[in-house]
Amino acid sequence: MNETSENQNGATRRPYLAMWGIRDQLCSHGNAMVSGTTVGAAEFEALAQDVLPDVMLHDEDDTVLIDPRLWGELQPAPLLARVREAIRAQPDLRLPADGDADTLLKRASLLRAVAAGQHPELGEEIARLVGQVCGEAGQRVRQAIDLAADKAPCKVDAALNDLVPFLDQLAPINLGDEGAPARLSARCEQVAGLGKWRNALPAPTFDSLRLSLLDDAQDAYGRALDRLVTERFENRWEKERDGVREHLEHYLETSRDFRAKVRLCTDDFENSSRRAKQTATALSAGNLVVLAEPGRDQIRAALFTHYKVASSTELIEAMRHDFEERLMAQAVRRGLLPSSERPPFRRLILALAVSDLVETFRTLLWEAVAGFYSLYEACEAYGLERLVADLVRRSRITSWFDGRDHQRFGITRFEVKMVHLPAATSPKDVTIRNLLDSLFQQQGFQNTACNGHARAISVLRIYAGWPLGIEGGNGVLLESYARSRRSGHLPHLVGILPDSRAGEHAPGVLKLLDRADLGSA
Amino acid sequence: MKETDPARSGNGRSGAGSDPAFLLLAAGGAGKDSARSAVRHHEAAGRPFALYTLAIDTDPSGFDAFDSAINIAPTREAVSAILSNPHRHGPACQALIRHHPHLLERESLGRGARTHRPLTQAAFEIHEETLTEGFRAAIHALLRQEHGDRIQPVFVGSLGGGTGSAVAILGLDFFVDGPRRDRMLLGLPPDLLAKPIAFAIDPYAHALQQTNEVAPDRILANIYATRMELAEYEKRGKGFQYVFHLGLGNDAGAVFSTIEQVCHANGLLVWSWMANYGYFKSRAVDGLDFEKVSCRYCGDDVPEAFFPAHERPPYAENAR
Repeated sequence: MNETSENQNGATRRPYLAMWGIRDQLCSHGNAMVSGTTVGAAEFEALAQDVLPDVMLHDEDDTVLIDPRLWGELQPAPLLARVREAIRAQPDLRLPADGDADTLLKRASLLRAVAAGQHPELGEEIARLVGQVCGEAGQRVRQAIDLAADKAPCKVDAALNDLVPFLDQLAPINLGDEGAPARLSARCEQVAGLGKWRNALPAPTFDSLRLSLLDDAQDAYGRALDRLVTERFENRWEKERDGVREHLEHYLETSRDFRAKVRLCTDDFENSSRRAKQTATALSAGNLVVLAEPGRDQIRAALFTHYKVASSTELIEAMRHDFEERLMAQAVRRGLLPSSERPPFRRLILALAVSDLVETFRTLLWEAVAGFYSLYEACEAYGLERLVADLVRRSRITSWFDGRDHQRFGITRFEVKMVHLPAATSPKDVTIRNLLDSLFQQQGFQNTACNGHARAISVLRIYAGWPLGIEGGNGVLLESYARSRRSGHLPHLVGILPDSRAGEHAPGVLKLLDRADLGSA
Repeated sequence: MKETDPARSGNGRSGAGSDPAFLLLAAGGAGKDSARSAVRHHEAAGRPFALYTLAIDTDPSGFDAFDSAINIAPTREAVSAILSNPHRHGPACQALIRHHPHLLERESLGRGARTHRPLTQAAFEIHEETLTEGFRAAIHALLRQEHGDRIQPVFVGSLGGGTGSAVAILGLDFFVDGPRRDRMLLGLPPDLLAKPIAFAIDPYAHALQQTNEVAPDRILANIYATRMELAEYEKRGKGFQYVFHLGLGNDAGAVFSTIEQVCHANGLLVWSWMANYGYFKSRAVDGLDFEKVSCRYCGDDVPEAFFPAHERPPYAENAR
């Protein structure tokens, strides 16, 4: 096949259409084209870029309350003291009454068993008590971090940043008397062997010795118990401290994410503003008619009026509230949150995509401004007849048929022309809208009263009822189809056309390029 | 101009004539861009009708703007699955292994199908269960919104890319009568889903923008191939209800010189059509819907009239 030479020498136009089986094709294809108005958005987007960070970073309460005492919660010494107190109150481990040698010996034996891991129940009880005290302290700190962070997402960074070195500088734990367990064993042995001295010593001397030994043994027991508890505490406390640090790092990370999201949103508006300026001309060349936008002062004034506020601070506060409500609705719609939940603003922002945040804020602004900006007055400024002519022209179809879409060839044209004119908001708007209505009607367009945009006119034209094979682009597409073989392209899906078994070009289709001579035959 | 009665136009929500809920299936990059634009219009208009957006692409970027998304990327894992058990997958996987193994080189896999439609088809075969589940979940979500008793699937995408054009054809198997549709509608009324409608971009602007020498031909070739396949599906009675095309521009000065512009326009187009569905459908029922199945082109300039019978391909053997 020599499709190139055909192209280069013109090889006379093929006398047949560039697709097989056209007479079997359904007339279910159509061309749809839309045109519409758009309001210039450069100023609007620029304003949004300025206002959005204020709204997103606005905190309801400027004072960030993180109780400084909270940092003391994780100080190991007071925590350890509480743990010891709790364990000394434990019935199986509490210090025996003065002079009660049997109980002391039993407790000492129990303590040795726990230390050697031979009494799991009591070991677990100690771990539970240690965990309870440490866990509660850690939980209080984590809750305080969350509370502060949720309340003022971007104002607690510094305060929380201070917590990191604080955690690192916490005093190391003194494990206590290292020799206490050995001393306890020695004293216990002495107490146990005391009986043999009862008859050898005078009674007052024996009693004095016994009390002294018991006193010493009791002290050794207390120290050994503290030593054991401290060992258990040390691991648990370090784990809790690490947990708090991890929580803090997570928060600081999400705080960075929060700030990053704010930045991405403002960047988006900045880009939109720049694009709006750059593409106003391009849009005019496309299917949209660009109407004059309101000025920045007008938008600001409209916002103040809409939110019924007098100062910028009140405005930001009102917008923040409105924004948060809308984001909640969006998050519920997206299935990110159950409708019953009310997460803090920070989490809402982190949960939603930047596109959602930007679009929600844009809608909020437009709705606030819409009541104070008349689309119809902007249309009038553009020129009503000119506007209708432009919109009608730009909604013309984008498919070509070389006259084959004709009744004579079995094609019944089906054309629908629709226009959406938003509701008028003022008596003057009503007049302009009626004028536009009648101008569109003269061009054969029907106002469908659909539930369309409140701030744009849209014109929709559908021209349908033709088979795909008569569309004028097929000839050129076929040539590209053939040329693409050279690059090893696979244009087809597998198993649909019987002569393209593995996605390659169908030989039967390529034949359409082979026989340009047929027309002259 | 007299306004059309909203109730008659179908925009009123009451009665049997109420509009369906729309399931917008955004296929491929251009489909996602178009659908995003449609969603923006939908939000700006206060979400006046039930709409669920589902993106299907081989490139997961931008999925977060949709109600849900199905990633059918031909990942390394997916390719390993094909290579290790080719016969457990469909014809596309087998054909790729047998005839075009270079497309499955792990090192050359990137994001997207890079205009190779069979790659998307192979991904479709691998992800069939995920797709069924994704479509089903979307239908359930729309039903939960309690809007009407009918769902109108609407495909948006470009016919020239590697993903959108393939999904437009392969998706038909899920939405037009057949076992996949039955499986998807398990336990639901079988007539819940209307026959799908497509808004297809003919991406001439995209082709003309390409700096790579071969890319324009590949894109344009895909348009042609997709058109052939659409026609083939129509012949099998499995085509779209309507396919609305959007080209490069018109003779009145509207030119979409970038893919972004055409996607933006397509988004507005799709959304406007959905918003005007009642008005459109009430007219199409009396005209287009009957004519599209009864009318046939009867010009003399079809190839079958020129080529001798023995030179015709199988799909034109019995053409009139």
